[in-house]
Amino acid sequence: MGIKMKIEVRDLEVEFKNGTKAVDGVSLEIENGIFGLLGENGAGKTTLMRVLTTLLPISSGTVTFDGVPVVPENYCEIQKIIGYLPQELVLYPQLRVREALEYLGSLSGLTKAQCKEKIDYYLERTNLKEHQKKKIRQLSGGMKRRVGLIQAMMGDPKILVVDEPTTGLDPEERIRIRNLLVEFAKDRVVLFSTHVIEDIGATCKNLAIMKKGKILYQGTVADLLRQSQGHIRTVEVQTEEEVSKLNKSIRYVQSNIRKTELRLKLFVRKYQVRWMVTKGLFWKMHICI
Amino acid sequence: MQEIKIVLSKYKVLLISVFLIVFAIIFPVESNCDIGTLIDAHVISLVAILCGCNIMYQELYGDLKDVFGKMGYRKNFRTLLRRILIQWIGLLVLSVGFYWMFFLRNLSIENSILIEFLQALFAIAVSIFFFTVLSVFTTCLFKNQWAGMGISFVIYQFFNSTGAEKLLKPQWNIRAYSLDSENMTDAQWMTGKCVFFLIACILLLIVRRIMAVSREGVVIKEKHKKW
Repeated sequence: MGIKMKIEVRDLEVEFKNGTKAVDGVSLEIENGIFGLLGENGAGKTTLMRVLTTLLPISSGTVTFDGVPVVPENYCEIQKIIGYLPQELVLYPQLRVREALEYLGSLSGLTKAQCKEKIDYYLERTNLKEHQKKKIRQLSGGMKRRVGLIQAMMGDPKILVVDEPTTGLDPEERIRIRNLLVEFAKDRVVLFSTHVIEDIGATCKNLAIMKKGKILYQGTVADLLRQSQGHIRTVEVQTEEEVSKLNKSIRYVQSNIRKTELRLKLFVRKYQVRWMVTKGLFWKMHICI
Repeated sequence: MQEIKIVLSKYKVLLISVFLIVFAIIFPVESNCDIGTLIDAHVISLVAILCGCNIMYQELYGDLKDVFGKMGYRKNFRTLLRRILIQWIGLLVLSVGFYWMFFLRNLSIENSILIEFLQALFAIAVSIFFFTVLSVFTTCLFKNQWAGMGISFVIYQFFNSTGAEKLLKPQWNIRAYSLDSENMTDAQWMTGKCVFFLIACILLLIVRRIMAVSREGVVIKEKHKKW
């Protein structure tokens, strides 16, 4: 039987004492499945995630998990149902993979038997079984990321928050991680933050796009693509020089578009450009007019 | 087991051992009564400060703060207590080994070897505990390892100074065991050490409070209703 969970965020604001408003009036509804969070650096994604994982308090607004508000009085209960993979995670370099996971598992409240079962399962799924006796410092960056993902998942959390889990992974590993997250999200909430459009496209049905602490778009990936229809032109170029020339002309065209329309289109276009450039064979650019 | 590896890594143990040996060379001893004085006053307190400031720094304020922050302050405090205990036992074992190494030299035996050893052990144990907790406290207070180390070192130096000898009665100095006071009995310096043990326990309670309320500098605009 699936675990149903709903996260509701209403007019959330997070303002730091230096005056920075990292999250500004964000309202979201997140249900079972993978929910993508897309945004450039400094958009507020990590701050939002840290609020949901009780690491940061709320300046104003409300966040509820199935009606239970995220307030200090409830932190204990909420922390039990959350798994979190932070953007930067440095585990104990002197411990072996298995030792580090067993240690974090025992701190999370798992028994030895539960730890063993979960660790064996996730080591197999993340292709780390043969590396389990290696020390953390001997692992590559991608392997360390996978170990971090295991520590987030092995407590069987109802809500899994992963901040750029595929950073530093090669394409094959990225696909493996995405498949693992999709399977994990069948009866849970997975909040998935990333810069990589391909990951969002492959895993998420719903997403939110953030910029400067605000939500620019919230809805399904299909709706986002539908909205952009008729606003995209495709140009095939062969050299990097042509790419940079086109990039300059796009910026010129953008300045002639009304600001209210500009923001979303710029955002979508910027990410589509990056996505297509990484494809490799032909460089295609989508121009919004 | 993993916690022992984290708190007392191979390199840490090696460095502490080298530290102890170097101090033994710099500060020679002539009798068995001087061994405990040397270790308590000059060696182990410094080691406790250096080891204490990073006992849980990564987990509270460093690279692991997001993973451990999610576990809640109560669990983190229990982890801290376990680590302090492991470090305390580890440093005590090293001190005992170091203590008996001095007998490989030609020392004059002034009092009962066993009584001197037990007294030294008690003094060293309290000093390790006090300076470890002090280091943890100052690190948590300033959320900075270096500030924690520096301020603890200044306090350690104060207790070692002539100023402290003038300001404080001999038994109310953490170095009471090492002070050469003719008017002080064993019971007095032991009482003083017990007082510092209690002070360390109070500092631990303050650390718990710091961990409970510690949140990054976010402005709270709305006081949340109790649901």
